[in-house]
Amino acid sequence: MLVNADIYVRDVPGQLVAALEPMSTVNANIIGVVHSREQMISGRIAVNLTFDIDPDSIDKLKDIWKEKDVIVVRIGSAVDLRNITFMIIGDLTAVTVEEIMTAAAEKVDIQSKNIRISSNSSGRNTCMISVNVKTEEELETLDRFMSEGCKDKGYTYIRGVE
Amino acid sequence: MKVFISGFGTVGQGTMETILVKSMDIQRITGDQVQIVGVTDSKSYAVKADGVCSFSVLGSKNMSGKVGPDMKDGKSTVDIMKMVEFDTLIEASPTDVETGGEGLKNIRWALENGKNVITVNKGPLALEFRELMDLAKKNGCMIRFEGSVGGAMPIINLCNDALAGQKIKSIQGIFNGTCNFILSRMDGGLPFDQALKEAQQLGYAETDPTNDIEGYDSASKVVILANSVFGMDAKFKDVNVTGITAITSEAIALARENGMVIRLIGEVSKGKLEVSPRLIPKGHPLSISGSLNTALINTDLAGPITVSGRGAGRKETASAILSDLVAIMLAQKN
Repeated sequence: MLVNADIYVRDVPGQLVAALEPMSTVNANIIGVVHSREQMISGRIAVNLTFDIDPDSIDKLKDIWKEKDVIVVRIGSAVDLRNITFMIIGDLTAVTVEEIMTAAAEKVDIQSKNIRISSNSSGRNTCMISVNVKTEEELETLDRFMSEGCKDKGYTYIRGVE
Repeated sequence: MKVFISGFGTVGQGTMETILVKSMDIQRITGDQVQIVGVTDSKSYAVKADGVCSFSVLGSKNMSGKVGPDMKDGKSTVDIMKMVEFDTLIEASPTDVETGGEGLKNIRWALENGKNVITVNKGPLALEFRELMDLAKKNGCMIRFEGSVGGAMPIINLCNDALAGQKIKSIQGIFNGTCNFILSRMDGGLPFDQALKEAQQLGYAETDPTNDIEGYDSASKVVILANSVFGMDAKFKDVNVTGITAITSEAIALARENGMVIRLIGEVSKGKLEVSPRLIPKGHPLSISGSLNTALINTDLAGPITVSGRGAGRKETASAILSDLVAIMLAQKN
């Protein structure tokens, strides 16, 4: 699980290292550390951490930080967007594509989307859609929704490879 | 090792030539010789207990279209197999994915009578895989089918032997060279119909290309992989199949503008048996062009492994049959 945390450490030499050391104890993998000296409160400075950790180890890490006098003001899941790009071929118009995406948005929380439509004289138009969602589950739900919806309507659905 | 060849088209002839050319190597590796004691095609047959003359059979086929002077005249291949003692059937007759055709009958009879089977015929495997494996086990003989998926591209034996002990999480691949050729030509701007015509003129596609372009050929291979590598009991009807006939030049162009190509991909993974056109980023192992086959095997320990090779052809498919033949000879020696 990718986690982002705001912590405050005392502004004395060795305190930042003391806050980061327990990461190895709980097998966490540090992705990023932002040390903000300008955000100083009561002799403590703010540090923002992003790390990968087993969710079951978060409480243990918080306990260790408490022992080391590290104050945790916020800890939670870091949003890591997942992208899916797919194509639909069929008797499509901008309106039908918009309807499809509106129905899709009722199934999953779409963070952003990019739609391109290419028309064909035979009436079989191609639409390429790139969508960002928050989780792997949403990605699978959207893929299933598109796959089944296209089958019902006689469209050809082409998705990427994972 | 006495061998009977059923089906004497491109693959059957290539197999006989390969056995002839590689006879010294086979003897060096296995300590045994291969004797071809029977050959059938759709109309004629040749059998001889101490081995047919390969030069005569190949020459006769080349000159008259028959493997010898004896005509089948209503006799089935099973009737002809009963005429001569042999150890291993090489089944290379035309594939029939709807009923399994004569190939299925030949394989059943051979296994029931304790003969080993090497087959490149996809129909029987796609339809009755589990039954055939059980028959082989029950009768103490072997059935091998490396050439049925990907021609010269080693995939079944790679997964089951070289990667033994690892968990194969998924296999995604290009299993039909004809479709890949057509899609590659469309990348260059040709419309579908013209690309198909070119594939037919070059001999990549049949006069009736339905099996290839509707994805049925790839689906047969997906079933064989699902059963032989993943231990499933899948049938042809279990595969979700979409062919390439709906792919337009506009779709290809739109993919290209976004750094991608469209390829017909067969996929076997947990809960998924599928053949469908997919968007592949250029440079990805599955973005290859031309008539090659390729497979991306995703394993738990070794990570992704890619294999690629010629998916069809006289010598290419015969190479897979040769590897199965040597494996059977070595297994029987031990």
